Amino acid sequence: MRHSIFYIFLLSLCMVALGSCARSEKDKPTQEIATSADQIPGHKVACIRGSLQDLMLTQFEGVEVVRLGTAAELLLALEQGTADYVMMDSLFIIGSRNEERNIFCCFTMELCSGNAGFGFRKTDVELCNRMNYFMDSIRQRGICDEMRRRWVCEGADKALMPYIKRYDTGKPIRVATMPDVPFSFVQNREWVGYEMEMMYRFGEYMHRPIQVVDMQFGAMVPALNSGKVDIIASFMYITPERQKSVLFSDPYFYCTNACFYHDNGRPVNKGSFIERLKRSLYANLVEEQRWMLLVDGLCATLFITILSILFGSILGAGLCWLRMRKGKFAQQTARVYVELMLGIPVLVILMIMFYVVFGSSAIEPVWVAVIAFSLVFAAFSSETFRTGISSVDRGQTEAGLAMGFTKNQTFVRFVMPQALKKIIPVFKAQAVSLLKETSVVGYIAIGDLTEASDVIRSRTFDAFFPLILVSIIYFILAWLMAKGLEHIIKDKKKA
Amino acid sequence: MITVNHLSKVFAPDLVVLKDVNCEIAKGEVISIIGPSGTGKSTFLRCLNRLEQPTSGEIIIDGENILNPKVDLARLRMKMGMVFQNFNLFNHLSIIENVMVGPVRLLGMSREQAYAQAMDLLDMVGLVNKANAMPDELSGGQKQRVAIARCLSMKPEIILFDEPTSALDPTMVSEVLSVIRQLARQGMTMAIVTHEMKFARDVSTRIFFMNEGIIYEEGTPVEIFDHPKKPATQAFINRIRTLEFEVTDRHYDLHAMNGQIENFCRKYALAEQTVHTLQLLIEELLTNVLPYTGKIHIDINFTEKECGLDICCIQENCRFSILDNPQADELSIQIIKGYCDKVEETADDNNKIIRMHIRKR
Repeated sequence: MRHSIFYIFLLSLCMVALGSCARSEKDKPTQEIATSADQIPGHKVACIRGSLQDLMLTQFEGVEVVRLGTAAELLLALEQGTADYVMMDSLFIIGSRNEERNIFCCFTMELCSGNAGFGFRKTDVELCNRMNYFMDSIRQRGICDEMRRRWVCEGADKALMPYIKRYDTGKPIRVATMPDVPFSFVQNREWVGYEMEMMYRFGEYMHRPIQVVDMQFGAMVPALNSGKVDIIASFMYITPERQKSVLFSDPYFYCTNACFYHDNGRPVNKGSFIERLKRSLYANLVEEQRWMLLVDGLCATLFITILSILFGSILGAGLCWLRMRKGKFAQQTARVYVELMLGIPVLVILMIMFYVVFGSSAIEPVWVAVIAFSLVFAAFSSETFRTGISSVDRGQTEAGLAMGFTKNQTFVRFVMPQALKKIIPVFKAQAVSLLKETSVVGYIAIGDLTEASDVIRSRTFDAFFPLILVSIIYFILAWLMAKGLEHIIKDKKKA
Repeated sequence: MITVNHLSKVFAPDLVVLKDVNCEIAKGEVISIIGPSGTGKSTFLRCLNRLEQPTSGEIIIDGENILNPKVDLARLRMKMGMVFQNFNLFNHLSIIENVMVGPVRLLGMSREQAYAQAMDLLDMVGLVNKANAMPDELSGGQKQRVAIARCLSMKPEIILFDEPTSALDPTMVSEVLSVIRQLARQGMTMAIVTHEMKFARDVSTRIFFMNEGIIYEEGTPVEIFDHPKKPATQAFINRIRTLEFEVTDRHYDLHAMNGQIENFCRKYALAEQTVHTLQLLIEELLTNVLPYTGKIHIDINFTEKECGLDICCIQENCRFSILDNPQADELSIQIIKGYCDKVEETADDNNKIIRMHIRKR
């Protein structure tokens, strides 16, 4: 036991060291900085997947487009040289303390600029009209300018969300967004930013609660149209293309596009290893109580994992029973189910559950995840149970029956205890792998452990520390879970 | 106590294991069920406590037909112990637990009482010092003795033994048999499927000889072992082993046949010389002597008790004498006569039969 803890500690240390090594500067020749869009062909240019910039870059010949998910990733791509330039709205520079990171704007592109609007379902004209009316009224009262000053001009980091009355009752308005300073981001476990303030003010105006759903940019339009969210507030440019499937409000923000580069020639004072570690610790955990995000994520991960193992095992036992029965039809049904579940990636099953099966119901995403993982785990565990039970010699059953035990008594008293010995090691491995597989639930807007690290990354623009921290947490969880299961079994053996 | 009428068991349309079994077992009897492999001895035994579901017929135990679907099987099985070929001890329970689990869970005995009884039974089978061992730590003979003790712990009215010594090393057979002998002396009703002929003769009150899915012949040990009436019983008791061939034309597979003869002889430990003699004899017969007027059947019988080989060759559709045929290969016939101790030719309808006998040298 003591040894294991020591090893975990050692491993953690190794990973942190690895992380800081990977961050050390690479030697790269200083490059000619592009001053206009004509000069970017032949270079690698990064942008957000599915964004307007993505569309624009695709039309450039000779540009190698690197499509990424979040603003934080864009920044890292620049720093590590995965991309030579980043194409983003010109406000990109505000939130990320880019000066400290030697990231500068090389040119702006008026031509490809645009208006961002809130997205609504095509059928939801009513809500959209209310939004437009509401925006008109606050613009006239000067609130819009105030918001702009607060979040965009004075720097999002120091900004504080003003008091806005929130409603708990009534049908919530679900808002899709993703972290993007200064429009929407997490501060002290609250969603804040220009768009978020606008949304909360709209909630106040509508007398309805606002429910923020964090999801990938590319997933927002499908989520909107399948009824998972009601509004997209994620700095979405109004384009004719998007207007085909989304009803846009009046524009709320005009922004130019800009191209950014990383100046690796300038020396940076990074401080010693310990200092950097301290700074990372502070920025990623302490500041704005970010560690609470990890705790919330951990709870979600554990909730989904434990319930899925529980329900999945029960369902798996049922499936196993069906498969071992004499009835051909039940057997075949169970077999087909198991093979289907084993043959489809978990993530795909999860998305189908979220967008198709429960597409129009108001069920919480966490429960969708529990259902999806239970269904998958049932298939795995039923196979484990079945092989475990078949591995027990038929003679054991016969001996029990011949003595005068009923079929059920024989199974419980003699077959199951022997089958369990075979089942437990495999079951343990499956449970641990389920824990790890739950890391994909971020795709359906659940703030689990992995997603929490993404949110932190989007604020601190530090890739390594949150990722390594989360990997250590996962490792310890998996280890504890395996130990815990072993412990339960040992107790059983003694009893 | 047990009456069986017209019992049959069909596994598949072409696999009829029990055709029509009728018998009666009285209290206190020790019945040994013997017979060649694959004639349904074990299946019959397993039908008696319905581990195997009979296809038709009736089994009446104490006036109750147990094939009635409403019958309380568990209660019925408590009265009938069974000892298996592969022991089937509960591997996750210690020896003493194996012997206690039935009385405690099914007979409602207190643990103390069951423990005392289990120790007595283990003492009887000579394994008290293994009480706390696990089944894996025991030898086959010891396991089977524990299985018998476990069976007795339920105080059964009859014990069914399904080849109790077949899975044992020869050195361990006697320890198990002596326990069964002891039970027989105490007047326990038993039905034993066995291949141990001497044991069956010593311990039984009656013998069932099963063949081709029926009880082919039954009687006291003396009747069955010393004066068997029917040919199949005689063949089995005298331990006659048979190898059969059928040949339709001259293009038979000589090498395959020689291989089979060699295997057959090796199985019964016949001398190398005998193998060559037999192979030569069959080859001469098939190449130079037989006229191929129709199908040819060759039976090679080896009688263990007399240590002799009988070869019976039937040539179908042959109207003339084979051995006295002037066109036959004189030399080949001389060779055959030289090797055999006795050669004779008989006729049966259209067929000619040549019988040859070789004494084992």
